[in-house]
Amino acid sequence: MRAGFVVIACVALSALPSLGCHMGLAGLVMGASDAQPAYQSGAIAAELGSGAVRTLGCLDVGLAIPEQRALLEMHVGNRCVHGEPFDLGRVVIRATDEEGGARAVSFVDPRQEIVRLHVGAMERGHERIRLDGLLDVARICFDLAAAAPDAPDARPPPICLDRSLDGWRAGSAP
Amino acid sequence: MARGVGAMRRQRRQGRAVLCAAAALALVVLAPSRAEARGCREVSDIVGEEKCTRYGGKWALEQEFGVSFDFGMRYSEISTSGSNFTEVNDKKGRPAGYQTFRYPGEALGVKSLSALGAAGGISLFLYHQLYMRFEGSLAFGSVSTASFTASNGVKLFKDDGLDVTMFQAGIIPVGYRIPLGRAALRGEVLTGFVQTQVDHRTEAAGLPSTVSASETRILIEPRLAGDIWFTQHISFGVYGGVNILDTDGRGRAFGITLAWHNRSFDGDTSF
Repeated sequence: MRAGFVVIACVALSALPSLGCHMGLAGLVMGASDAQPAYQSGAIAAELGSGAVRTLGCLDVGLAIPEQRALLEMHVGNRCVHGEPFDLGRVVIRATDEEGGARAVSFVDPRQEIVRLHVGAMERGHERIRLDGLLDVARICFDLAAAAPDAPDARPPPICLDRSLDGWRAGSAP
Repeated sequence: MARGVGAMRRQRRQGRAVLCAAAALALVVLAPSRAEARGCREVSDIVGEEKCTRYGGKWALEQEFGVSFDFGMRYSEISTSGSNFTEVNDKKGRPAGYQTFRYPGEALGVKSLSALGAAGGISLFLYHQLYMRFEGSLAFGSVSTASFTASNGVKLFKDDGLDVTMFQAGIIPVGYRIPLGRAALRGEVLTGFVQTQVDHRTEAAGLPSTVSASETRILIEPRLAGDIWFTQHISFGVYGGVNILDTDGRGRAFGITLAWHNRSFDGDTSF
């Protein structure tokens, strides 16, 4: 991405030698250059491990829970050249404690922000969402089947995370 | 000579102002996205107390502003037929009682004037792929004009070097982009004006050695454009258009652009 803006800067500066305003153009280039690079298929799986990532049509969705924190790290990447809808609010969460008893875990979303949104083409998104009710949970599964409305045929197995001594690890799907 | 140079400087200042305004606007628009990119940040001395960005604020199309900026080159032609040029006369260096000269475009002895130069613009997306656009360009050219006598009796000769200057500015009230994956087609109509200045050499007593004449005309330029996406935010485009007010078909323009888009693929969600 930064290389692209260097190209723009070079074209602009070489095309406008008599016009000045180079500082303004340089500012424009610098301001725009913090955009993300294009999402590459498999990039999320390479970071989180394939067990923590599912593919839903154009979208790769990866989930993780950082150590000692009741937060869900959500990564989403769009491999297509058009925006894709993604609805994290439709993810079904199933959690159990050490004895296998069901536990209620939900996203903390006081402003109802977690709604259906479009992931930009070739873009990658990352969110950290607080989880309510995670305290005694030993295993938590996220069923993503309904999260991608434009991929109704996608039936990925849930992403399950197991609590261990050194944090949460992706486990086998039920 | 001084008058011609002065007028050219004025036009350059106009072009510079347009581009500076576009760059400043770009910085204002981009500033919020830079701030959002920081993600969560601690807001007090209580460890862990954080203020977070809105869900989707960095990646959701719904929460990104549809704007793009571009720079490039523009080649344009205007017909001389039916045009009327008026001397650029700020009254300095002219003898007392001097009458500003005028001449019809046909007197130049050429059917059209052409120029090549730098262009820039900003596009604002209004609804899905419907957009409006502001743009400007400053171009220079050379033409072998005839030698002729203007309305006030001054004999005008061809000037050397870049003796044609065109300043064009306009707005596209509405344009539409048809996404085709990594390519796109656009249809748009530019409305604005183009100011054309021609420099002449004179040998009249009491006059500078170079004088200029200019003409401003309305520009209504339907265009077809095509874009290729290099990345999800950068595209290369070409366009061609005609000024429908130049009825002899010589009013036309071609351009190339390199554009940066705030929303990936301009927010396209089609298949």
